[in-house]
Amino acid sequence: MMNNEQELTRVTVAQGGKYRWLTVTALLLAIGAILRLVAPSIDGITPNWMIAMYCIAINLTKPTMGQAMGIGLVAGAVEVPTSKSAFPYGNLAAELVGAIVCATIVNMSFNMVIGRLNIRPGVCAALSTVASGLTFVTILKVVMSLPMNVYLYGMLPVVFGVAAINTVITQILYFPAQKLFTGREEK
Amino acid sequence: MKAISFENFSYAYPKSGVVLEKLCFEVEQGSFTAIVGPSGAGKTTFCLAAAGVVPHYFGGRTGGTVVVQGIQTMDSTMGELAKDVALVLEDYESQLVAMTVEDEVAFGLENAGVDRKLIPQMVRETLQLVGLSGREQCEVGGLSGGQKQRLALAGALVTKPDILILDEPASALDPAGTEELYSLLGKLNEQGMTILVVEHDIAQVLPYIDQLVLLMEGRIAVAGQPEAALRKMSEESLFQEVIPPLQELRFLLEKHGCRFGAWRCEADAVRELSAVLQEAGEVSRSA
Amino acid sequence: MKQLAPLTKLVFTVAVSIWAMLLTSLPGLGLLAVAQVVTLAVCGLLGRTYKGILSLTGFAVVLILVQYALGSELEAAIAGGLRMIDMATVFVILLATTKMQSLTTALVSQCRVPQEYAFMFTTALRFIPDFLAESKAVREAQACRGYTGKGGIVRRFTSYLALVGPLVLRAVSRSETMALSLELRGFGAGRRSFSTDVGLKFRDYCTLLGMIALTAGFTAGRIVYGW
Ligand SMILES: Nc1ncnc2c1ncn2[C@@H]1O[C@H](COP(=O)(O)OP(=O)(O)OP(=O)(O)O)[C@@H](O)[C@H]1O
Ligand SMILES: [Mg+2]
Repeated sequence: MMNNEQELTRVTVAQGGKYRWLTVTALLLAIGAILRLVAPSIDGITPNWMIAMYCIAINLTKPTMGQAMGIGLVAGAVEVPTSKSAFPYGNLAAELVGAIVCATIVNMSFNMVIGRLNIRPGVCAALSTVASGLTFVTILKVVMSLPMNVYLYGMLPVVFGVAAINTVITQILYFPAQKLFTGREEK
Repeated sequence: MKAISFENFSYAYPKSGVVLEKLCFEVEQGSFTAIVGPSGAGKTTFCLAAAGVVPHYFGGRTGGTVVVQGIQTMDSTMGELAKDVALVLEDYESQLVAMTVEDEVAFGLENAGVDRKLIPQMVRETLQLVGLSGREQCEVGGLSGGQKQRLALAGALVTKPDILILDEPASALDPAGTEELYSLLGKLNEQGMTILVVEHDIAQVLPYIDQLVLLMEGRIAVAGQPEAALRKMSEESLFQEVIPPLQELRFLLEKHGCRFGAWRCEADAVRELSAVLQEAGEVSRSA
Repeated sequence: MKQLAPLTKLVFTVAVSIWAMLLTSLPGLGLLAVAQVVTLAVCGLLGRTYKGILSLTGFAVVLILVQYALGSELEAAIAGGLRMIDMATVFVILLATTKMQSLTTALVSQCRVPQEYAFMFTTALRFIPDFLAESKAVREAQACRGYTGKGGIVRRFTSYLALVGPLVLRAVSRSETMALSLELRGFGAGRRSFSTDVGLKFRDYCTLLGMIALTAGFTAGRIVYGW
C-alpha cells in the first residue's frame, strides 16, 4: 500500500469495563476464605486474611461507598459457610464496618506517603482491622452479655495484634497486585 | 451478507503499539476458519475484535471497521453482539463463574432473560451436546481441565449464537479430547454455525476447515483455501513449523512430479501416498 | 424444611435470632437449641452437621468457662453460651437445607439485593477449590526450594508471603478474563431471569404466620411476665 500511516482514532471507554471491580473482589475474597482455613498462625496470632484481601480489593478498585458496603457484607457472608462461623452476625457486621472504614480512607483526598512510599494500603488495613475487630467483640459482648474484663483483657489485645500483622501483610501484597491491575506497560 | 468482515482494520491497545494492522478479511456464513500464527502475532486480539471486545472493553486506538452479521462493532455494544457471537477465551477456567455445572450453563440464558420454564431443557440439551450429561449437579471446581473446557463451550453454545469463536481451545485437552472437540465443532459447523478457531495443530482441524489464515505481526500473511494456504506457507517458508509433516511430504513429492488428490485427514493421506508409491513401483519395474 | 422457599428460611434465621435475644431464661434458650437440633435430625441432616454443632458447643463451653473463671455469674455465662449456640445453629440449618443458588436467587429477586453481590458471593465460593489446589501446588514448590515454615519470625513471615503473593497475582490476572467474559455473556445487559423457582407456596405463608405469632408471644412474655 502507498500511504503507510493510517490515522487511528482513540476510543475512550471505562478501562476494564463495568465489572472488573466485581471480579477482582470476588477472587480476592475467595483467597481470603481459603487462607482463613489453611494458613497457620505466626507466634499465636493469625492474620485476618479476609480483611487484608478486601482492603487490597478496595484499594485497587476504589469503589463507591455503597459498593464497599456490599463488599463488606459479602465478605462476611462468605465466612459463614466456609469457616463454620460461631457467630455469623458478628462476621457480617464486622466486615461491613471494616469495609466502610477502608473505603473512607481510600476516598480521602490527601496523600499518605512516607518518603516515596504510599502507605495508604497499610493504613487502611490497620484501621479496618481495628474497626472490624472491635465491632465483632463488642457485638459478641452484648449478645453474650460478657463481663467487661473479658472484653478488655481477653479480646482487645488480640484485635490490636491482628491489626499490626494485617498492616504489614496488606502493605507488602498491595504493590505487585496494583502493578498487574493497572496493566502492562509499553515495551 | 458475510458473517464477519474486517475492512482495513487496525488496532492498538492503550499501552501498546499497533497490534493489528490494516486487516482485510472475510468470513463466509457457515464456514469454518482456522487461524495460526506465532506467539504475539495478534491472534487473540483478532478474536476479541470479532466479538467487539476490542475496542469496547479495552479502549485504545482503532482504524477501519469490523462488521459482524451486518452490524458494525463500533456502533454496537458487547452485550448486543453477544446475541450473535460467542467467544470462548483461552483461559477458560476464569470464565466459569457459577457453583454448579447446571448454573454455569444457565448463566447466559438468565442474563438474556429467557423464560425460566425453558431453561432446564436448553441446559440439558447443551450439556448432552458437549458430553457432560448427568453432571448437572457437579461442582464446577471439582471438574477436570478437559471437562471445564467443555463446560465453557457449553456456556457459549447454549444461547445458540450464529458465530462461535474459540481461542486455543485444545490447550488443556489430551489428543483424544482434542479430536472429540473438533469433531463436535465440525458437527456444529455442518448444522450451519460459523466457526473461527485459533489452533496450532493444523492436522487436527484440517478435516473440517474451509479457510486457513496465517497471522504474523498483526498482518495477514496468508489466507485462503487450506491446501493453497499451506502450499504458500511451505513455498515461502512462513511459520513452517506448524505445517503437518504429511503435508510437507506431499509438497516435496509434488516438486518431483507426483500428483495427488486432495487430502485432509491421515487416512486419506495414507491412501493417496500408497497409490502414488505403488505407481512409482510399477514404473520402476517396467523400466 | 427442605420444601420451604428460601425466603421463608431466611426469615426463619432472623426469627430464631430474635427469639434468642428475647429469651433470657436458661430453659427457654436451652429448649430453642434442642428444638433446632431436633429439626436437623427430623430432616435427616444431623449426620452431616453434627461435627459443626459439636465444635460450636465446644467453643461455647470454652467461652462460658473463661467467663466463669474471670468471675462472672455462672447462670449468665451459660445463658450467653446458649444464645450463641442458638444463633449459630440456625445458620447451619439454613445452609444445610438450602442450595446456594436458591438462596442467592431469593436474595436478588425477592430481597432486591443487586445481582452483582450475589455474583460476588457465588463466584468467591466457586473459586475456593481452585485456589486451594493452587496454594497446595505453591506450597509443594516451596518445599522443594527449602521453605519450611520453620525458623525465626521473619523467616516464617517471608515464607508465608511467598505462598500468598502468587495467589493474589493469579487472582488479579484472572479477574480481567472474567470481567471480559461477563460482558460477553451479557451479564447485567438486560432484565435477568432466574432458573430456580423460589416463589412462596401455601406452606410458606403458614410458616411465616407461625413465626410472627411466636415472636409476638415471646415479646409479650418478656414484657408482661419478664421471662
Ligand atoms: N491488554 C493488553 N494491553 C497491551 N498490550 C497487549 C494486551 N494484550 C495483548 N497485548 C499485546 O498485543 C500483542 C498481540 O497479543 P495477542 O495476545 O493478540 O497475541 P497472540 O497471537 O494471541 O499470542 P499467543 O500465541 O501468545 O496467545 C502482543 O504484543 C501483546 O503483548
Ligand atoms: Mg493468544
